[in-house]
Order: sequence, then structure tokens, then C-alpha cells
Amino acid sequence: MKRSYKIVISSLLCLLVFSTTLNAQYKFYTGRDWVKIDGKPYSKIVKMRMKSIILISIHDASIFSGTPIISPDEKNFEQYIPIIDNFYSKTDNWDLPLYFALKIAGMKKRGIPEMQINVYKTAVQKKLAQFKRKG
Amino acid sequence: MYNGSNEETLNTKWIILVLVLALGIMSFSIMAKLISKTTYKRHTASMSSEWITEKKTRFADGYDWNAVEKLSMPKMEKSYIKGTLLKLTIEASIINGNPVIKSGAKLGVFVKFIDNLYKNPSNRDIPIYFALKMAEMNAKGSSSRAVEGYKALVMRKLKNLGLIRP
Repeated sequence: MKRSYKIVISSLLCLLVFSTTLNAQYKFYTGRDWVKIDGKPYSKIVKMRMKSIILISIHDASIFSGTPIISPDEKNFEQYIPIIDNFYSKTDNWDLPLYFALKIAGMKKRGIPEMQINVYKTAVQKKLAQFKRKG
Repeated sequence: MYNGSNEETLNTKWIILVLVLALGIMSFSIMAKLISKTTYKRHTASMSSEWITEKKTRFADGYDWNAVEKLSMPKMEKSYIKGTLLKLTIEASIINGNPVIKSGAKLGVFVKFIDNLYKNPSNRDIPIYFALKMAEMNAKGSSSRAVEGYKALVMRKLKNLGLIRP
């Protein structure tokens, strides 16, 4: 089986697990929160640092909880910021939690075809919609 | 004839004055830009070098947590960022199917505990993930001995794995 398919399937399994754990009323940290950082009256460097710490925190949590979102050896998170900024520049993506945006940024950086990324994104959006309907 | 040359001199004087003023404004704005750029660069350099030289792990730890405190923004905003870091840590661990905490205590309680924890320089190498776990133990009423025991265990493990620089 191709490696990229394995990544998509394992991500979908993770989605199944989270949908059974979280309350349907739960509000994720999404693109809506991410884009708000740019609207703050702080210098560019402070905003970059804020975004960087946020990404490191998610990544750490994913490592310590067993499934790293991106390569566990990744040190330079600033390179993911423009990819995520670009991803959230489309309002259609605003409802996607940052965890999945980072995952998609990692997929893009690894060169996974856009088609497979879209399959993954659609699956996540579908699961989130089901999750919201449950509430 | 006399009046005309006088008017011409006056006009020339005005033109020179306007030119000098324009040049002055231009050079002032260029200088201001240069000064702000160098100050900005110096500020950036001092911020990042402080973070990098003190940190012994590549994880989000006490140095990052305390760095939020050093950012020039209102206290409320700093608390919001800290709360966000904890929220995202919890979220990611849940999505991965292995929740870092199991109780539903308020984030503010955890933020306070972690603030105190990282005041002590010897605790700053603890990744935020484990600091959160310790905060939950404390909120659940575990003894301080149990929390310290957990901390020692985590630090030993991270050091053995080479994830903390000696």
C-alpha cells in the first residue's frame, strides 16, 4: 500500500477516535481563531512567535500522545506558518481545527498529491459535520 | 525692473526654502525608518537568542511559557495565549486518542498552577504537556509528593531518551 494512503487511513482512524471522545458542543481552535492573531496590534515578530509556540504545542501533544502530526524531528515550525496562513486565507477552511490544518501543511510539505489532501480534508469536514449534528 | 528682480530673488528664495524643507522631511523619514528597523532587529535578536540559548529541549516548555509573559501585551491577552496553548495540547491529545487529562477542570486553574511551576528555574525544562498533567494531578487533589514523583519520573525518562540537553 502506498505510504500516502497509509497516512490518510491512519488520520481517518484518529478522527473516529476523537469523535467518540469529545462533546458535540466543544469548540475547537480553528481557522477563525488563527486569523484573529493577524488582526492583533502586535509586531510581526510577536505574531510569528505566537503562531510558532501554538504549532509547537500541538505537535508536542501529538508526539507525547503517540502519533506525531508531522515528522517528530521537525524543529523549524516557522516554515509551516505561511502554508497554514495560506490555507486559512480561504474562508471555506475556517471551520477546520488547527490540528488538521497542521497535518495538511505537513502533507503539502511532503509532496502528497493535492487530490489525496482534498480527500482527507473532505473526510475531516464530513466527520466534523456529523459530530456537530450529534449535538 | 528693480521690482521684478526683487520678486525673482524672493521667488528663488521661496523655492530654495521649499526644497530644503522637502529634503529635510525626506531625510528625517528615512532616518526614522532606519532607526526603527535597527531597533526592531535588535529586539528580535534579543528575544530569539534568549529563548534559544536557555532552552534545553526542543519542546514547548517553561522557557516558552515564560516568554509569553515577556511579550508586550495586556495581561489578559497573555492569559488567553497560555490558555490557548493548554487547549490545543488537550485537543491534539484527544484527537490522537490518548487524552492528556481526563477531568474537566477550568483552564484558568491549570494556567495558575503552571505559572507557579515555571517560576522555579529548575522546572523550566518540563514540557508543557507534562506540566498540564501535573496541574491536573494537583487539581484532582494528589499530594505534592505524588506530583513531584511524577515530575522526577518524566524528567528521568526525557533525559534517558536524550530529549533534554545536559
